[in-house]
Amino acid sequence: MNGFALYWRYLKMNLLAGLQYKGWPMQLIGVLVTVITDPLEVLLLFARFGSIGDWPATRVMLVYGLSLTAFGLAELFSRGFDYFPSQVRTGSFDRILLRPRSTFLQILGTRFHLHRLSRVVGGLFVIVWSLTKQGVSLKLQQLLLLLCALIGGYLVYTGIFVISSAVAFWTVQSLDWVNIFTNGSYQVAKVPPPLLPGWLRNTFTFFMPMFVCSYYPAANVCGWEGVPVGLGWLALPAGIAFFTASLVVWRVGVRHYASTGS
Amino acid sequence: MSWLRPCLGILRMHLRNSLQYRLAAWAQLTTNIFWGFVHAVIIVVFYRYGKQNAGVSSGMNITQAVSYIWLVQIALYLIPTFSIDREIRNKIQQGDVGIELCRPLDLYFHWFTRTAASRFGRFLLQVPPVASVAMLLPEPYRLAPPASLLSLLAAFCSLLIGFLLSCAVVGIIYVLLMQIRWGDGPVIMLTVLTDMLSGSYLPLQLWPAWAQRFLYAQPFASLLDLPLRFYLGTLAPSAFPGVALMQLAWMIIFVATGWLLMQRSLKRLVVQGG
Repeated sequence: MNGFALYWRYLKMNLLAGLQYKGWPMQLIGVLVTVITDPLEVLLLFARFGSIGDWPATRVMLVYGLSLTAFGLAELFSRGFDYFPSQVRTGSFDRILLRPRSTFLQILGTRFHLHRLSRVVGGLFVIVWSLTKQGVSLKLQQLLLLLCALIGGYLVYTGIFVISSAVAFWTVQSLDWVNIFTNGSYQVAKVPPPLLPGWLRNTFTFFMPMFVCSYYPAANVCGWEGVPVGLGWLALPAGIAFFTASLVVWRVGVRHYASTGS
Repeated sequence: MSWLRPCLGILRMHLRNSLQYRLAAWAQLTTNIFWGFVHAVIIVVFYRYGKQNAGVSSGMNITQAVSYIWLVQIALYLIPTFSIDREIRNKIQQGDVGIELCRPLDLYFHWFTRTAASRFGRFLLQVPPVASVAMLLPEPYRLAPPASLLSLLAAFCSLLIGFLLSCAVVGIIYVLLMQIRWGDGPVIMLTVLTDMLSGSYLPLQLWPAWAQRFLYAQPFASLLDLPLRFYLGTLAPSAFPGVALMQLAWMIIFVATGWLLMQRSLKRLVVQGG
């Protein structure tokens, strides 16, 4: 059985386990509520304040939607890493090391919740809404660019999860700092990047390339002025680079692991 | 009042307990401060570059709005989302409720005090560092001092009642969690709803003008938004008796509902696992 088939089995197992709960339709309704409320805050702000500078809500929502969807994808498919630190504390990572499969893949498959689909659906809806409102018609090339942006963003967020898991090898506890880069980063996308304080923008461009996967592709697709067109295509390479770096940290962490108990 | 003494004991124990996890507390603290700062930045950008002058139409100026953001970070542990006791949650999910039921205590009030105690400890830890950092920041991002001493007092009293209401909301969440086979759908819904309507995302005064009346009267405003209005001075201290009465009414309704639901669900409780 190759890696993908194994991962697929993990997902299926988790999904079926989730469906055992009598209330899973309730969960889907819960999903709906989350889908609506996630972008609501931005929309409320824009309703009060009108457009910011020459940025109407429709524009900002594209950047926001791209990062929201990417984060949603990471939550959906890489959730296992989000829960990982508790495995170090309880020592159940020992069990995973015993199995003749990649540790990475096993952790990736430990969790899969269907209701995590909510952010993805919400995000995609926001993207489509924003593009139609702006009257942007997509050609094949631009569709491809958006797809690259989402994959790149997914890799970046997964990378964040992986790094925070790897840090747990040293700290044993899970630390809240990861929230700055997960939830915090798409909060930042609620305002136009050029208006942010420089250091905040740089953090989310150069350290964690979240804007590279949302703002620049969005600018390319819609043809916003003042942004070099080519930068949009950096999303996928940036995502791959960040993800690779996180894998290195993970490797070092696994080698450093000393069991804490059983 | 036989439940009072053991409940006081639980209160003392968990207050101490929650003060003990230092490193995790530090990590959380810095994250909260960063989080508050990011929110403050967002608010400042909207106030500065927004085309419509919302400061006038909403009755909330930029200083008040930014202060509000910081006050939310300070009062974070008094609102329901952050108050769900992880241990109680695990007990419910792993079937240890059975053991809890063996204690000669009313389960509802046992969990209520337990939640209240551990959260209040976290809150006390949160106030001095977040407040001092927020007050020392440069101008547009700063937490402003309270409108007056009386406002501060009104805000604090109102926040305390709001905190009891918050524990009552958490009580209902525990009952929902006890319906294990429902999954966590209802709980997610309830927490998302409370988060929004308590104003922990966005001050309720910045919501559309036509919704203001409803927002003021609905129970979740009493958790956080109304108490903070006293601090900011958007509500005068003279309004305190009215607001406090409304808060108390909501609290009693939520406690009664939670207690009754708990009794009902205990009658046909199925312990899963053990």
